[in-house]
Amino acid sequence: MNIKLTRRKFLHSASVAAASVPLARLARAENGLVKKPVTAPGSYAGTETRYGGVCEMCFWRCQLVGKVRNGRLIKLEGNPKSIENGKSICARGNAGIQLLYDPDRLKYPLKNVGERGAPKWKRISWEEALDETASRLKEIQKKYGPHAVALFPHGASAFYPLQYFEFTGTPNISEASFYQCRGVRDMAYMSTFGFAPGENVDMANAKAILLVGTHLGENVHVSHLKQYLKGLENGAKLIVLDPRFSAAASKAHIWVAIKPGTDTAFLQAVMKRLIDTGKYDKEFVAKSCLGFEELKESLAEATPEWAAKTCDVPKEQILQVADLLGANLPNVSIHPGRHTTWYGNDFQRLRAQACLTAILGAYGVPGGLIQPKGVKLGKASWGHGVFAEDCDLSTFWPFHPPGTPTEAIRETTLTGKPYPIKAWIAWGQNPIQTLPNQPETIAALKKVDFVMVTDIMPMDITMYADILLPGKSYLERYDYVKTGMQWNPADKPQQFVTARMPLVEPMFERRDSVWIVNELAKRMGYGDKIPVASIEEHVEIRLEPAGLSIAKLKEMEGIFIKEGTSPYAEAGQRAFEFSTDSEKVELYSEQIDDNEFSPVPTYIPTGEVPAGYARLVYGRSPVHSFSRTQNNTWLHHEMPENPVWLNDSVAAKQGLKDGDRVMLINQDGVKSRNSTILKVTPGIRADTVYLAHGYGAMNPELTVGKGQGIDDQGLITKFGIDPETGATGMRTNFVKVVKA
Amino acid sequence: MAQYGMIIDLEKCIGCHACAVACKAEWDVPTNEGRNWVKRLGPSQTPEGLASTYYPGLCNHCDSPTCVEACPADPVQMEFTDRLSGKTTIMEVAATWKDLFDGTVQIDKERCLGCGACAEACPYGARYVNPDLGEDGKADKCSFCVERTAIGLEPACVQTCLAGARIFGDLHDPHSKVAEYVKKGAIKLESDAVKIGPNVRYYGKKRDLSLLTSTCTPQSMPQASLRRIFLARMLKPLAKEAKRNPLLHLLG
Amino acid sequence: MVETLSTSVQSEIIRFLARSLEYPQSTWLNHHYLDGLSSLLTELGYQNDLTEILALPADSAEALENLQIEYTRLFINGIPATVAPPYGSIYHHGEGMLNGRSTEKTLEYYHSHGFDLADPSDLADYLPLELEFLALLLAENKEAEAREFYQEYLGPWFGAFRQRVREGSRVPFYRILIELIDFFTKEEDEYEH
Repeated sequence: MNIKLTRRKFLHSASVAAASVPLARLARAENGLVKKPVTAPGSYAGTETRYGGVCEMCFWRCQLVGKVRNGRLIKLEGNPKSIENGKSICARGNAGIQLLYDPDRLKYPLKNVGERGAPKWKRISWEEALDETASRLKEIQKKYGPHAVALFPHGASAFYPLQYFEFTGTPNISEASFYQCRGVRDMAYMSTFGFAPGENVDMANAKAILLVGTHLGENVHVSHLKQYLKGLENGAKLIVLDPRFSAAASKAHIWVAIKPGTDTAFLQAVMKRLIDTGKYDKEFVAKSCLGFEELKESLAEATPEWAAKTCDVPKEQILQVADLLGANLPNVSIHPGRHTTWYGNDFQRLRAQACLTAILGAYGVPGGLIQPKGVKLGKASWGHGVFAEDCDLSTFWPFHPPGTPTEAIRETTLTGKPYPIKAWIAWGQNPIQTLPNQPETIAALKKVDFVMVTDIMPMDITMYADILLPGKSYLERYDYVKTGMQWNPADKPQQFVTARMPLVEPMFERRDSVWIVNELAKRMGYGDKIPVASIEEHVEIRLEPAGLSIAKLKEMEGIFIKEGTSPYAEAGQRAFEFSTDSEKVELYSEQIDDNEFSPVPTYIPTGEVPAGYARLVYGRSPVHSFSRTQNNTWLHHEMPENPVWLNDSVAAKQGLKDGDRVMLINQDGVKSRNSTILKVTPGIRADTVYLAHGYGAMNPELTVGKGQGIDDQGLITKFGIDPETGATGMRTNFVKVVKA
Repeated sequence: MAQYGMIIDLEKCIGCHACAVACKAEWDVPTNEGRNWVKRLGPSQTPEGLASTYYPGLCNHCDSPTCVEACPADPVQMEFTDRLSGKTTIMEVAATWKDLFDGTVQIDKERCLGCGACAEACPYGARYVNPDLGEDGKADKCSFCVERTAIGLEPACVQTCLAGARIFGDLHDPHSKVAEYVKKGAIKLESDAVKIGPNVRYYGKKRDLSLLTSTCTPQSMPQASLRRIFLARMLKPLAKEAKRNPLLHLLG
Repeated sequence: MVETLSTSVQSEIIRFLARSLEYPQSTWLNHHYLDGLSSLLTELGYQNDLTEILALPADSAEALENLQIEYTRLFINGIPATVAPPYGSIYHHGEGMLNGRSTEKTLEYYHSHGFDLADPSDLADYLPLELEFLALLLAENKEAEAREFYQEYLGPWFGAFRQRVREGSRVPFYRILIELIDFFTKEEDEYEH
């Protein structure tokens, strides 16, 4: 276009004055701007402090305050009133602002007018998005039954949709936080202690701490790390089992460079040594445990020599670890771990950790496994769903965590057996990067009749949506109510309640989950069953039994604190009642036996590393929460790529140097989509290659994170399914490192 | 007279990068720059064994700051006030200087030419030029958050640190926590070639300090280019003119 | 008198152009709108490409949908990347975020001239808002302020935005629109050379 006139001449010409009259009418009647009196500048830097923020950059949920100026969130800080994280937050917490204001974020409902995987987006109205989603889902429910709808939820925004879809009659709900993360741990401890352990070991007051693969420091949860560091400051001896010299190993007194997959053997040998030397808590075992003799018997072969060979570690180290734990019992933290779905034999390993905890008597004592008490909260829910007979795919795994194993849903979707699954809904979860064998996930997504995704950001999964809905971020919404205790169990006992409250107004047409679900429910014929009219109402109901309300919490700077009870038992108490069948800690479990699994912890070997390969082990980066934060520009700047760790002697043999650009090829010939940088180090075993998870996104809409670093999940084509729980074991792949 | 300083306790630091990100939010630091930073070191062999630690770096507010000497801006008279006694002194300073009373190194963004000579002169790489500030960009770096500490707040990085690994205070006060760390053996990142008195010190296990000093101590003083400084001073008005007049730009 | 007339005409045209950047909907993107646009283009002596513009979606639902898809791709969420988010802070060095420091400064500028956002969750540096603000200044005959606002706020990022739309737009409508905005907002003397 080439305009030949000058503007002045143009504007002065008489004809344009006439022509422009209709233009004035065609402009919007109102301006987006209104007159405002000039206000005086505020206090220091002119910011206002807003209370009630609860972080969700990860799921630890630290309490926040927001510094707001001109409606813009300038900075997030820990809420000084918090008795958990206090004034501190981690890098991700600090970078929440970049999620809030990420230009790549989803803004309006979008409809895919292209193909799944190669979308072409068109902005549509909420009305249209909801109408279409509801009618498609209704159609599928009618034709194939309610179980033909599968849901993949994650995070606080997904609790209400989860309840709703379960209520409509589908058991096909799979949370990554269970099936690809913590579920197997919780189920193993449930079978042993009768409760899910969380990570509630009192490291702050422990005399010895055992971490099995847990890499604290690279895995960052603020109050948890405060406990860990407090313990170290107080002189706790730290033992780390890890094939890699991890952040935790670098602070350890004993680093056991264990062969991946053999931890159960190590734990068995430690238990045997403790029992053989009489260094176990005899009183706790006698009064509170069941099946000690069976456990002891099962360990007959677990000699230090056998374990040393199996685990490829010095025999002396096994004895040293056992003796250190025994010398400090019962004040030891046997950390239950967090991401624990490793090999598809994990239930047994976590049972071994639970049993070790028990024979050390490390329960209800300083340093031990504790059960923190929070304040009782109210409930408002859709009520339980009624599933059609025989549609529950999870029954094959008797100890499965809530929901249905992901692999069962994916396989059923692909085979149509025993029944068709025709709709996939992802709500804050990114199954492309949480599930192994991506081609199968993608095939399933392409096979179904309808895909709906609700998220904050474009993700690899959002590329497959037919309808894509934009959620409010944790900084713009009410939802989660949190209760807990002070971070250091030895401090004055306190309890707190906090509710997530928005720190800023939402922009564009982002909506919260309760609103979206209610609107869908109205359109799907469940309008009369809606339990709460809004997310605010839900929060009010949750708070009510504690005598609280949103308004009251606001007056309390976001957090209500009251006197609590100590998580420790009375000194000398060694008899406890647990919520297991026998009301004891079940070292030997009849229930497990009845289901034809090993009733005492058993070592089940995983596949050996083929010659020329190394086992692919992945872990966490302190600046990322899985794949969720890949596009955060501040976090990306801190660690733009995930270096591949390779043993220095192996690297020398292959002619690879520190800093080389490399790619990975797995045992099935699958090559990583991207390259990354090589870290050559003596701090990893020769049979192991390591990288941090949460890199290498495929979605080009992630303008910061796409293609940066290597996506480990793309290389996990082989996986194990834990036979007791159905959880997905993902450290079962082998790779070669090649120059890019 | 005080000398503010910072101790990084590497026994506590877990390398989470919260300090670096909090600083970005506090001071609107461009994404690809940093007033402070965290570098992961190792795992590597050291004479004391296998080690892995971090290099959380920031401006050292040195005793003899080479950045201050490098500043080509016209000096002006400036009044300094002692926060404690209220005493004032006048000193002639360029656009960056070392404070007489608290020992911090500061920048006057109004008078900064944005030439980058100071950034070049720093052996620790602690300064950068933020091109978005002012017409031609301005030098920026860690200020030890004197603006925050003046109203009773901690530096942003100290406040957010979950580990309590960053300790800020007056090194000249023998009862301060930072002075205690110095007594316990907190070290400076100094070499034979670079001895300008950094006031950020590191404390930790021998093997970790060994890894830190062997990889992160600057080994040579950057050659502050006199020619560049001269040009910056002489050509600044001309450069501004060139921006306004495209013809001049062509001539240049 | 003449000056007053010309600033008020300019103001009206800018407001018209601001609306043109809204999401295409049949509620406003109708025959009246297109008539207005075509008369503006005719007056500018820009008949050549008028046919392209007139192929616009006043009647055809398909043409409207295509324009909506293009709008989504250019300005909302596009693949491989949103071509040109219409927010100033995206284009500032080191920001690359929505609601950056420069957004805040823009809002402060509105405040200092006695204006505020009608909807506080709007972003001050959203292009249509900056245009409306410019139009308001011109309507009040505040030419000096209008020039200042252009020089300090709109101008510094509009060039980069315009470049992205020019190169990235697959339909003539937005390319032409962006040229019109440029023509009616840019400092005049550059055209007179």
